[in-house]
Amino acid sequence: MTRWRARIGLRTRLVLAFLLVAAVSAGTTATLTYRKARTAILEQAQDTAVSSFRDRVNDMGTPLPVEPKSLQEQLRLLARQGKPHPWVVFAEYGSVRVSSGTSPVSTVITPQLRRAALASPRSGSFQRVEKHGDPWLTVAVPTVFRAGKTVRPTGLVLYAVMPLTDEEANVRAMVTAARDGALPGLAVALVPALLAARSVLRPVRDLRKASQSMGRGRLDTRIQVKGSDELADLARTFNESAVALERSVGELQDAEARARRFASDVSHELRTPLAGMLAVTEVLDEDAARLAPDTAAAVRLISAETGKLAVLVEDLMEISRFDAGAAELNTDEVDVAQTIRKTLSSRHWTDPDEIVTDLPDGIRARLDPRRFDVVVANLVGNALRHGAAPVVIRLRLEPGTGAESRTGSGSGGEGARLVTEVADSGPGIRPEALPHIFDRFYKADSARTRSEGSGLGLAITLENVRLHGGTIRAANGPQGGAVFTVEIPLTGREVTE
Amino acid sequence: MKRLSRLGLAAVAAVSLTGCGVRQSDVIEAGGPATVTVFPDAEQRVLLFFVSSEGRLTPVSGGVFMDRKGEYDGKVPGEVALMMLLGGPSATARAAGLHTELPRSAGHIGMKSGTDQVSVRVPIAVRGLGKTAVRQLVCTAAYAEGGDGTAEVTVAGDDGRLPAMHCDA
Amino acid sequence: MPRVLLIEDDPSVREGIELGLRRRGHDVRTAATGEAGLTAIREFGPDLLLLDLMLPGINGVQVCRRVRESSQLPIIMLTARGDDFDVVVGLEAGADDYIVKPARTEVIEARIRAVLRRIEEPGGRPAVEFHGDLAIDRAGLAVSKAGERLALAPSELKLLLYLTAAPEQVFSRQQLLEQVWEHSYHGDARLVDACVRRLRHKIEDVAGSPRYIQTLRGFGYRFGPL
Repeated sequence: MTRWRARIGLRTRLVLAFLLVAAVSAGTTATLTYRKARTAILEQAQDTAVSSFRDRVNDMGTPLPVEPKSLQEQLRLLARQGKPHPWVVFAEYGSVRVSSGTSPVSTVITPQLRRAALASPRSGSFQRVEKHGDPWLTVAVPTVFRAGKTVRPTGLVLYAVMPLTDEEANVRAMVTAARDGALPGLAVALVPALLAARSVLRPVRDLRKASQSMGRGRLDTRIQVKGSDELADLARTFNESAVALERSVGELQDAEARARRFASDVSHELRTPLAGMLAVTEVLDEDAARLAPDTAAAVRLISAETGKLAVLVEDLMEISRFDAGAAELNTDEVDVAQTIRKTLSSRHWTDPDEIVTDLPDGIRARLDPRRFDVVVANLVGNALRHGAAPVVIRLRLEPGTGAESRTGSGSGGEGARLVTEVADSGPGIRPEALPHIFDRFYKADSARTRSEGSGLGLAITLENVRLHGGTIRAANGPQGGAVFTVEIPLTGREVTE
Repeated sequence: MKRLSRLGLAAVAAVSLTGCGVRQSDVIEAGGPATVTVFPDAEQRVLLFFVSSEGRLTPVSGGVFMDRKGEYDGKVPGEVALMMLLGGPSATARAAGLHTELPRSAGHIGMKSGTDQVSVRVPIAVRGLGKTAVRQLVCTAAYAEGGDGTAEVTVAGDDGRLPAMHCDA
Repeated sequence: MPRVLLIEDDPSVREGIELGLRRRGHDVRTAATGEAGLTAIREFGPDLLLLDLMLPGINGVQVCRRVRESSQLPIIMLTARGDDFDVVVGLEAGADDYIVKPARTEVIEARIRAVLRRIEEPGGRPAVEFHGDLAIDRAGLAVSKAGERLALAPSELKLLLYLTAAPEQVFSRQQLLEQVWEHSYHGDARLVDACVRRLRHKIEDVAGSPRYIQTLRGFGYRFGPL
């Protein structure tokens, strides 16, 4: 039933229900009317037949026992006077059988009728009989005669047999009429059914549209409430829920914005004292050698941690700017291979045992060099820290097919993408860690110590790639090492001045 | 929905069960019997009661009676009626399937009729007679001599008399 | 050792940088406000100005403009990364470079050295070169246009000298950043763009359609051809 409901739409169900009700009421009405009318038609025919037959028989005279010859003549006379239709008349008296027709005995008259006529000789009776597919009316009238003050049965019973074909034709005509009336009636009922379904479904449709609109994030969507029926109640409830949802989402967004602002403010506030501290760390480092060993260790610790703290605060600031949408892309057209080589050399990642590059020259792309540097440096640094050497950096251009053209890529380039791949030779990333690898402060490996990074490197990498309209994904290569793939759409070749 | 479809099914069933056209019926009583005229007239006839093949008491109206002088008298004496009864059904009546349950007898028959009482004496043994046979005697006697069939009839036979009875009892 | 004036309102930053630079042998003078800084420039006569952009009263950008009105004193802005708008405004106002705070003293010192360093002179050249209306005196580090001496900030002068040393050769912004500004990391190309804009304003006949410093879309800049 449920599956059935799920398959058939609300509109269809409403229309079907409407039609079913219409069909049931039309059918019932037609049936009841038909039965009444049929009864009326038959009663009319039967009553006319019985009473006129009795009237005719009342005019008869006979000796007792009957004389078959004269009786037959009387029967023939009677038969001609049949109402409403000519009838065939049979007489039975003892073993005498006489009729107005050719056969003295009727095949239509049933033994029940005969028994009833004999058993109660003071009342007439009739029976409808179907013989060879035709309906017949058989009437039995026992006769009595006056003897003194009373009447006595004569023993003579007269039967009239009358075809009911005309009545049957009438009844059939009624059935046809009922059917011919009901079918157009149902067709007509389809119109109000569709109208009713529409009026019911319009609010439902509104509700669906509103829900979709809400789903797309337009939380200020409201439905116009019309009337006061159940659907209006539903619309009102929807609106109330929408208000509540909008309010809670608004509160959540405010809270989130406050939290972000707080993080940003905190980093800002930390930066100034750090700037002073960082400026003097060298002084500490240089003089540590001249201090007592414990003091020297403490001073070096402070110096080292200040440096890390500065990195962390910088990364936090960077993330805050991404969150605030304040990060800007300052693009320049660069030779990508050269840019990557610069990134590696400036960080002294040049040992061929550690770093293997596959960087074809001549690939030019519009990038923000500083941000792309951050991306490559983070990925390579990450690979060196958490994976194992050698780290392989590959650059290639993927000529995107027209259909594969990525969103976010600008005009030109026909969907071509710049693909940068950083693969290490370590054990790879645990599968359960893969979905969270770009989360902030996520520690893919619990043994990882805090000192290895701010915990924001990959998050910042992701944001930088996104800012370029690109994608980044992490996976494990066939040899087991982690593989980070950055795809950045190639945009137009114009240079801003 | 389930209920609704059940209702629909019921309606469809009702319509189909009703059927179309004229249907057969049981035997239905409709009004009284027909009253026919029986010849000869009541004054000129004698009613004898015989038994039909189904065992039913069936009246037979006797013909015009002539007296010994050959004149039409108009009245049939009760003794004659009983005598005719005991003589058995005529050939016509027999052809119609009537018979008598009384034994044939040609002996003396006596009859006395009062206002509401008739007593008859028949030359047969009456005690061993069946119910139908006794009713043949009683009814014939009650309608004899222009009687209206309501009189109380006492039947006496060779072996004694029967309790008084009515024809319709 | 160069004489450095540091204008910075935050005492700890001021003291920290002062301490760090002094340890490295710089003669450092500090000022906490823009007004005090402007006075100190007159009195102290520094070789270089380290200028915090966020100052109470006259802010860093205004100080920068005032200095540029009368002097070609090398200016390095101290800024927080992400204060992008301030960076652009500061560069337009005539700053030669900028340093993102917090920074280690070695980074600050490297910048100071880079800004103060003179472009290496290619040998075998005449003392004065003429390019169109421009007369460039490499030895005297003076540029005049149609006989009129131009007041060029150090970065502007260095950029012009670098470009004119190889006329019609195209340099990418990253190349220029490396060679002129000595940014070893991937630097901010806006430094180049801002400097080119300022330079064009001073040397071009019509700033909107440059003939001396030309842009090659997608590649970078070149000097000429005239």
